Amino acid sequence: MNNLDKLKKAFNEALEIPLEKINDELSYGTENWDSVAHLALVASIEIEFDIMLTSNDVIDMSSFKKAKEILEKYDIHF
Amino acid sequence: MIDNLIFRKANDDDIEFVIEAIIESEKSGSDMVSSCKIFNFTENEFKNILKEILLQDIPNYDYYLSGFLIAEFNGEKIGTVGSWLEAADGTASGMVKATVLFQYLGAAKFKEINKNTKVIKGLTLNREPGNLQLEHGYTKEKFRRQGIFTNVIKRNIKENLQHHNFSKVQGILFNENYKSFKAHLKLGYNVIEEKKVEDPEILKYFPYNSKVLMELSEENFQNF
Repeated sequence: MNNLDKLKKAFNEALEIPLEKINDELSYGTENWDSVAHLALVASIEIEFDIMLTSNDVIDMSSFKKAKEILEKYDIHF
Repeated sequence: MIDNLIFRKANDDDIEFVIEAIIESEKSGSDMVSSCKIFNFTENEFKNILKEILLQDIPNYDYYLSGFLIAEFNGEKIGTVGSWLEAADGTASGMVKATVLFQYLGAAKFKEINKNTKVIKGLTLNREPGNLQLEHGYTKEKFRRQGIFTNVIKRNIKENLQHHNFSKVQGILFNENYKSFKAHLKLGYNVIEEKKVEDPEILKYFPYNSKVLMELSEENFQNF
């Protein structure tokens, strides 16, 4: 599984959004992505990529596109 | 009707009272504190976390201490309601709350929530950026049915109008919390959106299975 698929899997599991609906336009506030779901998403990403996100990462991760940009900082490329 | 109330912005000395308001607001007339069920901690643990969070006085979400307006009668704190302007700095209040909880819950704790969130998401309602949000309205039991809730809401809106421009006031509540729901209707709020979850699993995390986003339009609050 490549990194893009792993990230989509994390979003799919945490937000229960179908894989085909996960794209760069997906952002906080849509598709049941609320504060609790956001914490679930952070947990899923940390587990999926075996990283520890910072508070700044958590507040900046407002979309699927932003999540990819943040993960680039951890040498996870898409 | 008590009419000689003193209103003032909350400060560190009000934290215990504000915590009482948040807990009672979460209970919404039941015995269940949703946050304790979702994050799997005791009411005392939740109170201690709230205390630390409120002391930080972080703006733009519902645990913003300075957003609470305190109503006092004869030196006693008898009512309050919290307020903030949604996404005032471009970040949704839910994102702010998630980040604060991330800091205070600790990694081990918040990883537990993943398995709890599936059914909870069905009650998600989104607030409109740029508009005033009022949450955690609370009146001490012996002072209820005397117009305190109405007064503290009206006064909080007035105070916010002095500093911010907004055209709507919003709040999210359980519509089965009849007393609160009726009080909002009486103030002029309307139901904008309702979410209901039929899966009985929802009642493990929330006292009721439906929530509403209510809204007060400018024409309703401009004469407060």
